[in-house]
Amino acid sequence: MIELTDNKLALEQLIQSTPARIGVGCSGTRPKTEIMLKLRMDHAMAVDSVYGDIPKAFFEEFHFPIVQTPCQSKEMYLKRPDLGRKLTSEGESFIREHCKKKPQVQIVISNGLSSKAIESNIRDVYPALLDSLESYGLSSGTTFYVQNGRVACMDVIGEILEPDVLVMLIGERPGLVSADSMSAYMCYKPRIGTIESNRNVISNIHRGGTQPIEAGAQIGAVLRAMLDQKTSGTRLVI
Amino acid sequence: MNKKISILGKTYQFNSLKEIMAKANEEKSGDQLAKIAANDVSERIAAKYLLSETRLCDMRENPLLSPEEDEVTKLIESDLDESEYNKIKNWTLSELREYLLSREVDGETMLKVGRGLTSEMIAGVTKLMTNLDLIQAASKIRVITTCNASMGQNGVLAGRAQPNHPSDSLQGIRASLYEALSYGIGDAVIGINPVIDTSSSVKEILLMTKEVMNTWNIPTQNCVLAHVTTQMKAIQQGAPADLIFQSLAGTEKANDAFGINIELLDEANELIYKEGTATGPNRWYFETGQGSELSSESHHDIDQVTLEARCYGLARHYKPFMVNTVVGFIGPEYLYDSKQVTRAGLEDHFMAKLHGLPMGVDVCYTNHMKADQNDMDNLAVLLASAGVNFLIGVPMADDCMLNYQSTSYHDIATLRELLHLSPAPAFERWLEDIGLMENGKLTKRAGDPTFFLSQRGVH
Amino acid sequence: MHETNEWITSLGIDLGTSTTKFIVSRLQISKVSSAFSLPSYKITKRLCTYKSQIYSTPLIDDETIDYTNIAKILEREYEEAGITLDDVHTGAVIITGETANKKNARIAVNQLAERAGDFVVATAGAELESLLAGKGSGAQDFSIQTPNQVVANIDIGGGTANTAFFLNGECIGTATLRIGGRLIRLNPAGFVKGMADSFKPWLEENGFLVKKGDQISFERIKQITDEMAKNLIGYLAQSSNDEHTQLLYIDPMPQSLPTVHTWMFSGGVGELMKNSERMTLEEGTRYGDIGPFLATSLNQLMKRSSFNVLSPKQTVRATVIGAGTQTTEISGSTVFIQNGNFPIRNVPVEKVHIQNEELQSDQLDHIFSETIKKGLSLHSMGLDPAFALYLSGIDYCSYEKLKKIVNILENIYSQYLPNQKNIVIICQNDMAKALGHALSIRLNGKVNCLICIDQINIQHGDYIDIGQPLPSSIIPIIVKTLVFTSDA
Repeated sequence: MIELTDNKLALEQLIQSTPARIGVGCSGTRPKTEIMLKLRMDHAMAVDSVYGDIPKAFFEEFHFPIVQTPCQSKEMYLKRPDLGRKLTSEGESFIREHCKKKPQVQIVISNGLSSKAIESNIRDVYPALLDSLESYGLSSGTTFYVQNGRVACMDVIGEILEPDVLVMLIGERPGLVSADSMSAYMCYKPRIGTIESNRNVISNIHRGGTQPIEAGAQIGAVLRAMLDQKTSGTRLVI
Repeated sequence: MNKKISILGKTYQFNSLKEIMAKANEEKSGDQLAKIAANDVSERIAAKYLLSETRLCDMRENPLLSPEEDEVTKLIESDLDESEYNKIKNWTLSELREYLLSREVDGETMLKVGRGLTSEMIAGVTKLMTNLDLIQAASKIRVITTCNASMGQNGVLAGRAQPNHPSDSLQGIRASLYEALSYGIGDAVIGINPVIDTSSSVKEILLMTKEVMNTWNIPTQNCVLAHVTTQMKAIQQGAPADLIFQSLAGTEKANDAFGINIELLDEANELIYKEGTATGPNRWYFETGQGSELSSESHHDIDQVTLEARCYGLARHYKPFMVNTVVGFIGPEYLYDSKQVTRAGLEDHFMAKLHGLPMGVDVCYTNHMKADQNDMDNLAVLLASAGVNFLIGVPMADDCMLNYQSTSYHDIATLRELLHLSPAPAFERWLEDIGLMENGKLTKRAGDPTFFLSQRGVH
Repeated sequence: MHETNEWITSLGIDLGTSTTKFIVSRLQISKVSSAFSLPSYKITKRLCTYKSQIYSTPLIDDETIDYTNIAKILEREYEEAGITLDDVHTGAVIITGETANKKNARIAVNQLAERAGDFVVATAGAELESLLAGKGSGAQDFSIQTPNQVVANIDIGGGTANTAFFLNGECIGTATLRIGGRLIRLNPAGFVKGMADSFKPWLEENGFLVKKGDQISFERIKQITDEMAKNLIGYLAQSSNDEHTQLLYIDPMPQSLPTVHTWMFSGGVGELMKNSERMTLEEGTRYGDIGPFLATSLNQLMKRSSFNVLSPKQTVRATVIGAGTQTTEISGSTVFIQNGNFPIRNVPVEKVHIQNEELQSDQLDHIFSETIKKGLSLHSMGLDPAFALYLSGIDYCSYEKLKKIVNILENIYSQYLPNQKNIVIICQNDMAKALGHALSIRLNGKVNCLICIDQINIQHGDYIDIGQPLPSSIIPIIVKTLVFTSDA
């Protein structure tokens, strides 16, 4: 049994210097019970975030219309990324009929790989984003939600609604440090066939990472730059 | 070459060797995503039957990707030991399997035979093997390599210290590295995946790790796993790198997506032998993993096991110090669950060893894969029994920078105790010298990272 | 990812009790964020590229700084260093030791800063001096390399001994005593040419009855400096508690001192300590003061006590290098700037410390208006902005909290400062850009200029200078303490 009692201050300093799980001690060669259970719990949160759904109350608060991709189940979503890049035909006709065409800015939200990311961050990111659009003199179209979407479904949406710029707020693959981390993918005139390097991204948006309100504010700045420079991705100068 | 077979009254017809190879694979979501997998289990086994009758020369004469089209094929072809190949070219894959498993054939002989096999032949025989076959066959092969220190000896299980930090904080990396060393991990390499891919940042990390190595006289090697071009720049700016790293893929087009080609690897190769700080002959660290070719849509409809084997064909050209497959990192669309990850880990390890590579495995999974820590425990035991050269050590298995789970410092220490394995010899002597090991066991002082604060170096 | 490095030029000027020095340094600003996160920059290198010779500080008389001559020195040094005013991005003039007590100290240092470059600031204060010397001497860096061990740097110049304590790279305390090499001035025959008034009480209490014109012996001088060394080290090492030491205190002294593991001596006396040997009276008085004697006394005492003494990287120039290379910080890179006219100098900062529970309650209004009222009573209303607000303590700023803060800010500014045309808000947390957007929408053109910056720690809480934003919205910031013991 190894007890870490000596040099406690020094140990504390080492632990503070990294979010890695160090200074945890062991019994024999195995980790202590509490630290082992902590790992299992963090993993459980991450798994539940992948497989969980956004609660109804969220949609009652925000009134985002919901659009589906052909991925009916999580298993299908995980195994068939190609299907997550499309909308169902009902979804396509819904946005064609109900969303503003050719908006300057189109905002799309999707659970992606973490429902919790949307649940915990939209409340802060979204209004800060609207503030920054107003502050930069930009107007936005009809925001909607895509269930089980992948980043590249930006292209299909771009093809239908023809926005000047599109931002997709999507749940990231959960890590153990944060199960609710969100990314914002942005693209100038996204259309089918847009390549990855034409998109810009701000990732790691959550309480303990990129601050959600600052992310919202910065998205406005990036979109403004895309409109000014008429490009996005690696060629964009921010 | 036969492409049609009837079993139990049902006829299975295939169009090409490529199709047979793909359908003979154990179930992988990546092959399904690529729409090349067997439609059902019996079709899979039927394909295995046909494959087992295929002769090695048939395979060589029908390359899945021609050398004119692809520089990886060309390299594998030109590196082939023709005299070894000529001895066995009329064997079927079935005969090859039985030869490799027979008691009379030892590791040395297998390595010799391996030099006469193309990567596709090695992938083919792998498809005929069960998990225990893969463990049994691989366990006979020892591949010993030397950078500053040697590893791969019989009875040795090394560990890579992977003390990553989400913002490359040198203090944070150092703290995690102390933790690794205190468990006796870091004999394979002290290897950091950086967040910031700039030469100045890479140089800082190399300098810091080198300083720790020098202060404590640690017989190991350092590496920062940035893109190869960034490492080259850092080395040209005087950064002390023992190893140079790159991720490899199995086709020219997929390597292109990684921003590399053989010419660039040759250039890096020349640089690391000229400017690298290592003393030994093996200076490369490669990483691979099933599915990367499909993810960049450069798979040419070839299955992911065969493509993975081709990575090893490319890797062996550079006589690396270490290679590992990051087996569960890529995600459930390529390896859906723990069963698929386990299979892939054993396949990759065996295939690489038959290529003569010093193979380690990053036994790992992401949070959207149907797997958990128990599954990793299982696979780690299987691989340690199969004689894997090294595993990856991450604090409590949780990599706070790459956001996935691997094996922990604790896990590697446990496997050594459980299966009577040791750290690399020079490293073990060092652990004994500083008092972290005694008679092959970790001492009471192990597991305390402040050990490396309390005393400033030795000797 | 491409490599983003930008270099800026920063200079430092140290007007000390006995000597004046000047340096030029280059600061490297690098992008430290990945392509996937918000941009983030850090000062990654601070290199000193030019060092002036060491000048005697020009004085008109015991009480007055000779500003004209200092300006001339500066002009010559700019030429020597091959730089022009336009090359200088930032820097600091620091007035140290007894010089800060001169009649025209404040005017001289401010004028000098204005003359030295667009964004060169005037600073003073014993605490800051100790800190900068400790950074310049290399003590701070050394403390990073020796985890969990306190490193003390004692910078001894002509008039004061400024000590900074470092632990793991952080300054955990400072202490200044009136101990210096030039407190008594002597000629080669041992005649006293002058004494600092502030030093006389200590001499008298210790029974050293010396006055101007007296001739004192080698042994007597050594007795004085031995006693000075004993008082200084005794106090810092907490080994002896001499009641006379209190006569050497300058600022309020710290409540407790850490246990020191490694000692460094910088400053003019630190330089003399490097090779203090047996000497004659004539050699000991070669600088016209007691500096060499003090160095010898300190060396003997440290050796006798078996203290762990390490040679610093810089001695005489420690403070000026600290001032030149260490005063500039940069703000977080997501900020909000509407019509700033840079540089903005000498903005007093009023701190609003918000506890998390207070954010939930109605107390918030009260906290803000109290701060504003305090600011109004302290600072001249002729200035615009009269002062900046510093928001600290918020652990996580949700949009709801942001909205609350914006409401309150709008109210208090229109209530208490309706004619204010420039608003500067500094946030400890990364939230400035969102705050700026929300506030500018709310203010709707009521002010000319709105600046919100963040990720700056204002520890001493005094004044801030905001420089011209560099490309990529990096804003150089200097947080400073302007303390003059005599306010002439």
